[in-house]
Amino acid sequence: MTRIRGAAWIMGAFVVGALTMLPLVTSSRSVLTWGFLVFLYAALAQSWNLLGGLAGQVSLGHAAFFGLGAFVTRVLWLGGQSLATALAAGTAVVIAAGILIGAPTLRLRGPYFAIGTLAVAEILRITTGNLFPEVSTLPARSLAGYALAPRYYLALGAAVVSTLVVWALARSRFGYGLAAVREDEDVAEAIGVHVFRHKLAVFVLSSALAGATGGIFGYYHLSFYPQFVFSPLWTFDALLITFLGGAGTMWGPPLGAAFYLLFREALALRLVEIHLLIFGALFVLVVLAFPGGLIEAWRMFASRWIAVRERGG
Amino acid sequence: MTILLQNAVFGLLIGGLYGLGAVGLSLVFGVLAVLNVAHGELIMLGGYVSVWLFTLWRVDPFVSVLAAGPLLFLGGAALFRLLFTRLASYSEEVRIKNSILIGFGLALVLQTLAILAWGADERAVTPSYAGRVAAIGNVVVPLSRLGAMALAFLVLGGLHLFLTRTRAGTALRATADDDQAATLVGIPIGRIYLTAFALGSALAGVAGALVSVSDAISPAIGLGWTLKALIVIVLGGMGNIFGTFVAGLFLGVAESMSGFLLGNAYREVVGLVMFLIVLSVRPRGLFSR
Amino acid sequence: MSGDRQGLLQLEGLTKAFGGLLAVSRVSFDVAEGEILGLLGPNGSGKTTLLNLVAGALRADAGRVRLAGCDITSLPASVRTRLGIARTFQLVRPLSKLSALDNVLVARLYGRDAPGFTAARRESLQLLDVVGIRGKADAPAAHLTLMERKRVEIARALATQPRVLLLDEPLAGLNPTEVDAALNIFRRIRDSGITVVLVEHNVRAVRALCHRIIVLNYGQNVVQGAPDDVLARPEVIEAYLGKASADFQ
Repeated sequence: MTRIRGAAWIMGAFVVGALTMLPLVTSSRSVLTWGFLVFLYAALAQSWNLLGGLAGQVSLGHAAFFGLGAFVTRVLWLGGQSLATALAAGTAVVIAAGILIGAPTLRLRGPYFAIGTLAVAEILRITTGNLFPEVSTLPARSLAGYALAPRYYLALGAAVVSTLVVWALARSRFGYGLAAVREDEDVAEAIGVHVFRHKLAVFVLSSALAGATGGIFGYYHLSFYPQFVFSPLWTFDALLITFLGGAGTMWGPPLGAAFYLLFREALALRLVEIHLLIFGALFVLVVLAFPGGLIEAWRMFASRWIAVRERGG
Repeated sequence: MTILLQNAVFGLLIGGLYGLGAVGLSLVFGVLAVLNVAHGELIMLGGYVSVWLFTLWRVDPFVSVLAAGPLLFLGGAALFRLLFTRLASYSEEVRIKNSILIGFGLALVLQTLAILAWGADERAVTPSYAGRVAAIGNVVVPLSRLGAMALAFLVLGGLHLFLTRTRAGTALRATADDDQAATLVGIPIGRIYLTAFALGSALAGVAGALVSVSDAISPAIGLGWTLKALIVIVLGGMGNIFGTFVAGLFLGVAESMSGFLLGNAYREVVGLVMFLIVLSVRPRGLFSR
Repeated sequence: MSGDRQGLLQLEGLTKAFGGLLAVSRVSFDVAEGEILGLLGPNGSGKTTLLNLVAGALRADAGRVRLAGCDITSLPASVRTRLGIARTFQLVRPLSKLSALDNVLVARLYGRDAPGFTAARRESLQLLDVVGIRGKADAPAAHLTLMERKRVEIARALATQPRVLLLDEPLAGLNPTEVDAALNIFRRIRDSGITVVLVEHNVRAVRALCHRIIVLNYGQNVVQGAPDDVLARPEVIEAYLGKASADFQ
């Protein structure tokens, strides 16, 4: 098992290194865009994974934080603030929203947390659509200077950071506490884990990462209606990628994101809508039959392979 | 004053359908502890049954109810066999969580299927009596909506009789109350689950067909209806048909009033806000399971 | 106000009602440091509710709970655990997807006087040794037998370094051999000086372990005293033991 982990780390470092070099090697728009999207979705899924995978809190309102981050960052950036300021402010707003939304909804039990977060996201989506019905388009001066590479690096950074956060958390005392919360809240409380504080902390952390990812999207996308970034589809994509790769695992979301975008691009060439159909069905299949996702399948394969080799040699 | 009254009437009329749209979801959740968040998509499918029967053979939408109910009953039975039977062995908490995930995926599949099959556009049924109204003083009552509400009321009454006066209905209620005890007294629980899910789907189908009487149908309407159904359930109490109906009317009036007072764009928001307020006061909902 | 000869755990007029049903009604008693107190009573007499009130899983409607003189009545369960109250559940509740070791480790990390990771791991392995399940340290809790899960649950409670340990029918569902094994574990706990409140129907176990017994009925404290005295009283035999009386000849 340690051998597999070590190999995964070396591979991961190698892949990240290679991805960092990519914009130096190629300036192909389609390659960089594809890379950008993989990182963006990996970061978004990883942020959901923190909350849903590690802590077991199935939120259906993740789009609210992605959207809020995207919207605030974009408004500030287009309003003349530096990108760094805009991103920081966007993330700060999302952290505040995470506390405001998390505190009441995390007290809900059973299905009501999922539905409550969905309701919050829908309220935000509808209200944003009402207040800001105009499409947001990059002005000509921004378009002239538009370069993909910085967007690419930002998204890569978000994916790496969120993955490292999951890695660090899973090994920390806090991460162990979250695992206890996920398995049984009463038991967690009985062994000294303050359940509500743990849930709120991970909710805010997850929201902040989703918001920062949204901010990067707001910086990247040429033109969209403000309502679009609050669409429940963002939540769905995050869930799908997480479950596809393996919920609660560190490599699941990046792997799931690469897989998801490969298929999406391949399918979208033929028909725009059909990828949603296939992924919806795939998601149901994964939840029903392979709750461990791709990562679990890979582990089973790898441990069998090692067992066979050790028996042989 | 008249305009307030007019809005209240419109709210009541649409509210009857909210109650009907919610009752199937409530039934399924009560009996199976499965929260089918694709319920709104089933309502959408019921709407399309009516739209197509009208487009192809000019079938009256009120008559299409007779087709939409049975068709969705069969469809629901198939979905249950395919997706939800496996959940029966899980604990209630896991069952609810997984059913939400499965429903989320199912909703996307059904919505996309509808777009692929029929396009993303809105479609409407236009019977000869569309737009005809009865005037009571200064207040106008659209007849098609009145008919839809009356039928919704009848269906809910029928459901009430079924649940309280028949063997199968009693078995359903017993299972909702305590599925282990129900098994002990010899109720075939697998079949009850199947029946409840199929019946819940049939109710969604009927609701969808009635929605088509006065509103346009499009593949995207599902999520909105699921949310409305959830709001109504939380407001009205679980497994309480009368409460569901009243909560539906209440939501309808609240939406229509707030649409009038705050602007139409905020209709949807009001229900969701009420929903959150009720939940934060009673974290397990007004009903407790 | 904490006199030094007071009990380590003090219950004072604890009351809890569910709807109209009075589950626990003005129960008061002290548990001395190092004492093993048996809590008996028929089903529905409020024993588990009382444990929940002490552990903090439920809030009392009235009355006080004190630990070493400090009022803990309004503290949440997690804080009480860190102050030194641990409990097991009537139906064992392992953290299913975690290994046996991780079940104990997380409790050690959050319990009283929690050490760093390395020490916590070492101590958790020792605890698995104490309850005799070291060999299954890496097995997921979901794959363990009932007895093994009970062992994990006891190790998990011990890992929080309790001053008071609340055991809720720890012997239920075990066969005689397993009961003997469990009794050996409890003797070790007793000898280590941890104060124990034991809810148990197994009279032999109660007689073997407890210094003192309190019998609850209808949520009230009916009788208390030394095990042999209490178990010999006719009203106890009638009210509670009834059919089980053959058990303790």
